[in-house]
Amino acid sequence: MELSLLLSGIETGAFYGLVALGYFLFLRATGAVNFAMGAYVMFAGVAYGSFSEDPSAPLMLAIVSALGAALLFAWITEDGILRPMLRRTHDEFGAVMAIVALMFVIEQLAGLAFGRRPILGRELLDGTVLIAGLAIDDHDLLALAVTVAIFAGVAAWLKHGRYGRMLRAVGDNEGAARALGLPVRRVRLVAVLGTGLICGIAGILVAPQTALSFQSHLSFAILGFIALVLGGVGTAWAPLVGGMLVSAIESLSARYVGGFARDYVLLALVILVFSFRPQGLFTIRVRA
Amino acid sequence: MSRGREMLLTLALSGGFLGFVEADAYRQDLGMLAIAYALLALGMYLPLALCGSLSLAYNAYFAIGAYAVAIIAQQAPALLPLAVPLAIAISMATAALLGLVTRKLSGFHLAVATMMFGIAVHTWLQNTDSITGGATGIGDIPRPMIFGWALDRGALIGLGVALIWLIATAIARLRVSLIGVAMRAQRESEIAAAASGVPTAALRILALAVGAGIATLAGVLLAFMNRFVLPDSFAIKVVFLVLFMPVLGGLSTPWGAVLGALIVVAFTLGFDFFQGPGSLTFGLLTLAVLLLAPAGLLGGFARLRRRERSA
Repeated sequence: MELSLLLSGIETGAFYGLVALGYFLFLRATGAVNFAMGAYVMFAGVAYGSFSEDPSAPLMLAIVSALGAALLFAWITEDGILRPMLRRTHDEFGAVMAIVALMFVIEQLAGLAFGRRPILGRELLDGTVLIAGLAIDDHDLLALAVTVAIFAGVAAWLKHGRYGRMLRAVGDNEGAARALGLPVRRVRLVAVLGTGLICGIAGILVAPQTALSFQSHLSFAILGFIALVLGGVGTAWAPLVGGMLVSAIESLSARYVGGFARDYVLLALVILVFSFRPQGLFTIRVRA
Repeated sequence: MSRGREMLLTLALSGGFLGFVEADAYRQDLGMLAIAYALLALGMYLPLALCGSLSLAYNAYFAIGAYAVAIIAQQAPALLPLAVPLAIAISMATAALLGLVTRKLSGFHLAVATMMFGIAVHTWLQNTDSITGGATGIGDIPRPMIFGWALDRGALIGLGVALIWLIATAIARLRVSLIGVAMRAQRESEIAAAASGVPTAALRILALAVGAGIATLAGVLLAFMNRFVLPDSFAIKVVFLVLFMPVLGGLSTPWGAVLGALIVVAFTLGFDFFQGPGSLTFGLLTLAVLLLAPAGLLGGFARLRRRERSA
């Protein structure tokens, strides 16, 4: 019993970690905290779920449409919203409003396209394995493995990859990177599309674990953001640590105080963390 | 537009609105919805447009107004006249406290912290059965009495329209007053304003508190109009809806917030906002306004008029 609880906590933590990694990459590239990211994940998950509901439908179609949707939304956010807005003003406020509006549009699109009921997706791998007397879904193991692989991939890419190294330069100082002749626009776009891909994968992985509806995105966005803030933006692995922490706090508060106490605990956590970890947290510049 | 002409025009439009919505019970319901949204939007407009402070806790202030009325009507009916000032005081104190706790946050961090507060209040309303009636809310709220005269639905709508006109006119005046100029100056450059002796943090908290007080009135009116309160009327999604109203109408005048509220009600015609295709249209419209006409509909309209005149 305790072991299965731990395992589901790790699964949830890995999921929050993936969302936080999406925030992390997007933040490095554009300087904006992309609140619509939870909506990318939700849309991909709901799309995957509704295309895979029919057991005879090909899984590939569901996967491709989920990833395609998340990539499309990420691209629209960068080229359709953030860059045109930043050309006009450097005020963070306009970007916050536009991202919230986009989040709302994606939510309503999902409701219109896939209906407003919760949808549970089909598992990528059927079957279970027995580990230490505990039956574990193959899908859940796959989800964990994919999550770790994504984190390792992003960490290696930031350290050694051509665009990954340029992304670190752009994230530190976009003006200087531009002056050095780095292809800033392309680097931003690559990182933003990477974010979309991660969100799409996260949506596909979570869709068979939890039934998603068109309104699931807000809690993804909030918990992912808290995970990012808890973990920090120091290394690519930090979001995973943050995700695990959020998941642990969430399940402990639900267990020892009661299910609804989660919202109070998270509020207290947000205010505490924002107040006592001021370095780099209090103002995030929207870089020019 | 001169100040006097603006007051006359908005007064005439308010009268027209009143004549239109008082016609039947269905229009009265739509009208009250528009009034509640407009008051919420005005409450959000004040800190947003003047100080640049984005707070997403407005569902909480909305709920404080409605539940103060409902709880006092249930527990101590004799004290009902005190419910309104009490609700406003609680809201303003809450907003000031929240503003104080989050005073160093900006942008996205402020948005998340205030949104978490709004969510926690909604959860509290749903789960504290002994005080708020839990998920079933509180019913049987009596009609408010003023000097021995019970206010019916029509009178409540008239009161709401009058409140909106007074508040919007007052905010328009405040904008160009010394305090308003100081508020907008600290929005443009906090360091420069602080160096000129503007008490920037105090002004921001003042704006947040007054905005919360205005939003509370929406809850008070809605509770008296419906004669019941339900926790789900105060979920966080209300905030996202209201947030777009001032932007849609235009931040250069408080009447933009009122226009935004009217547009939302016109788009949805009283159906559950989050169920129909009207909400998608509305979201896309907001996005288009943000990208193409950042001054909002009224701002864009004023610019067109200026261009015509100079041509």
